[in-house]
Amino acid sequence: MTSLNAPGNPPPPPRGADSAARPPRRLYRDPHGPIGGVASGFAEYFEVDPVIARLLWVVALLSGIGLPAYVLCWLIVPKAPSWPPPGYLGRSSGGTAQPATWVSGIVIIALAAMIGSGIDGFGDYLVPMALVGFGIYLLNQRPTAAPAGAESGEPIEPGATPAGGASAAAPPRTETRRLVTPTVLSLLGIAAGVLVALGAAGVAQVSVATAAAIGLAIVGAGLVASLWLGRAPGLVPVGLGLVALLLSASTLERWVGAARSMGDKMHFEMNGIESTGIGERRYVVTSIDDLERRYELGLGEVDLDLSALDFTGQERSLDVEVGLGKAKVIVPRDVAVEVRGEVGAGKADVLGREIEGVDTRIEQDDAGAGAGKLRLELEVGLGEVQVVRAR
Amino acid sequence: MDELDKELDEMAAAVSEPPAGAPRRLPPPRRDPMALGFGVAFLGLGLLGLLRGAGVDVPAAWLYAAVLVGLGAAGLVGTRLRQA
Repeated sequence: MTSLNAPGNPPPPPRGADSAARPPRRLYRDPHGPIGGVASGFAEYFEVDPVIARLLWVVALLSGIGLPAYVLCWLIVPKAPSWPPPGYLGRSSGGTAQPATWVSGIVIIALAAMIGSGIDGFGDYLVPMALVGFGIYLLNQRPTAAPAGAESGEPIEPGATPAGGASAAAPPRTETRRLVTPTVLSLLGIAAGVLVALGAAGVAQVSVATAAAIGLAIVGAGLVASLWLGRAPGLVPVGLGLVALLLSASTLERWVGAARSMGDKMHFEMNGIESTGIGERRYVVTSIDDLERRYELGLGEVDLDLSALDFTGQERSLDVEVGLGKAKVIVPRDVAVEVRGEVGAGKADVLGREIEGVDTRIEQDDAGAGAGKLRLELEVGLGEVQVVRAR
Repeated sequence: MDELDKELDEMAAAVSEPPAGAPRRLPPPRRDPMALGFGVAFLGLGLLGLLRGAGVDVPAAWLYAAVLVGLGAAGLVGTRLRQA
């Protein structure tokens, strides 16, 4: 028989008692980890399967940032005095990996392979699929209905009752506590996958800053929901990371937008001449009529090949400007060249004469065989200028 | 005696389970000022970022200011309410 306020039932917990009873969780390294215990520590902190955390570190390693990040975490994250530390569930210790974990691991390794080989073409669709799959996998990481505190000796929280207990009014906090962080992380994965898929399908191109804002709103909503659904302290560092991404992306996108508009402008001015976009531009001019008066680039490398031109009887002037990067001009063997210009900081190699330093002024003339004349005005803010004769 | 037990069980079930169709009541919110402060701050900053993405002219300088103020306020809420 069930009755309310029976003498054997505990009184309802005071508000805030659950958070007061549990010591604050901190990020620790697992002293029993195979290398530094960093991945295992992250898995415990974010309450995900340790296999997933280790595979994500492998992905990070392949993308180039993993090694320094791992060493940094090894140095700054303290080793736990005991494992699991106070307030942890002890999920990674002694557990065996479930089949779903390995399936997810294979997906992540595939993702890593795509990072290594570029994500163009087929990868455009595999990446969102992998992200969505990972999110769905995390959503399925519901805690088993183990009795509160039965796992790794965790203390039973106030208000929670042992399995088979009489009270049905208050579900154990422990069961829902482990749900919020994985749910929010899975929603982040699904959202990222959907956004990438929309971009790959050409439906909508969402900027990195907007994607970070969407993620931030999800994390914020998850934190507010955690007031009712259970603790999720791991979401605060996730949100702070998204704030950093939002700020950096907002700044970078403005710069990239300015550089891209400059590139677009150049594209139309250089109609008929090969243009490879921002970063690297190679122009092979085969007719004197196609020679422009001015070539410029904000960031990257301009490679201007004039070796096929015949300047006989001609006298032409040409300006090349690069803000940050390299300007290389290949002039015909027989033309008389008059080079003027300046390098803000860097070096210049003009017709075999090398100069290096700050505010370097270029003045170099070469008569050649006298078949026409080319005046070159070269300006590079930071980088390198190179003028060579065709062989 | 059996009828009495049956009646008592029905009464207990009626008290402990919400009637069909009635909305389930949420448990009272935990007192977690850190989650509340950072949750609201992240939500606000996310919405601000979404507004920028939708084309609303929010200069980057204002975004930086909002981030600093939002995170500062979240930290204050977290520490002050914890002390209270």
